Amino acid sequence: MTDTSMHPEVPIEVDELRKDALQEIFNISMGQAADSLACLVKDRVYLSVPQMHWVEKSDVQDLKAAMKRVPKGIIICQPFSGYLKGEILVCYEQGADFTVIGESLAYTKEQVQKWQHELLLDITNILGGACLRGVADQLNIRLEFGAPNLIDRHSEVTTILLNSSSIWDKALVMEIGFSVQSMSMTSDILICMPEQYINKLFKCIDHLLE
Amino acid sequence: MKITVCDDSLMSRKSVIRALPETWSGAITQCKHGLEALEACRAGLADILFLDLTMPIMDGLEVLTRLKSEQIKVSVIVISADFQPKVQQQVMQLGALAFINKPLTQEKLEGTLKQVGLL
Repeated sequence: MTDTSMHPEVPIEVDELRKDALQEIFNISMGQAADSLACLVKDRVYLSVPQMHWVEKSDVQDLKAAMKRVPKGIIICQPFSGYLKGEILVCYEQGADFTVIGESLAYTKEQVQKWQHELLLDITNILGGACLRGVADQLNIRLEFGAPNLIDRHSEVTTILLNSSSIWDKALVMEIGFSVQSMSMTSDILICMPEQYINKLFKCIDHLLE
Repeated sequence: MKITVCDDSLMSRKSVIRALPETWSGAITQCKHGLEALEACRAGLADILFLDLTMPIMDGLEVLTRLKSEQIKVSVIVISADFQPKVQQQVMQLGALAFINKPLTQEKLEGTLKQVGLL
């Protein structure tokens, strides 16, 4: 496997086995997350094959490479903590149709129109929560997740990341695209695991690979 | 019995191979994506195919479609992280014998194999 996405100067080496295991763990977790969302939107949720990148905030090219599906849109961040600390960033393309999921979540028609950002926070919480639970179960660790919050409505993700006061400078980022055709929704999920927690993460992975 | 295991993840292929019944013997072919699996089936390397769905190059649904249109007789068991009802329905319509949600366990595999009469 050729790998141009890994940062050559990153001190911690992600060998192929660990990379493979991590991608599969997130693949399984996102499958569970997609199933939760599919029940609410009453349609199939399409997921991409997870891609892993080292991203350094000081390198805009890293960020652009990680966020290629939806470079600009509504950005929501959900932090997580526990055995690992990090954050989930979701970038939603503008213009999705929330009618069905709004009904599922007991929003009235007027509320669906007015509270689209709240609906996106709900969607993020459903996806993020299910994904993190999946990861925690498989790695046999404890993870807690905070409330998702809206960071920006019309920004490029790169701008947000460069300016934000978030918790990391360099992180291992898992990127997964997802879409729901009947909602015209396309999104990019980035699960950011800061460099300082990667050794702990690998300890769990190595245990799993034994 | 010839077994082919197709998954883009090495960890997942290993977990399938580890979970296979001890009483089974025979050649195991490993494939990293759907096209490799299709070629293995065409070459007669699979009586049973354990097939993932989300893969690069060719996904599992495409493999099932091709096996059907080329009338290649293989017992296919899909093992996938994507287990939404619509996906399972599509997989069964395309002729798979069974569907197993990841993560795979020995118990899950054994139960399924018994259910479809392969064990």
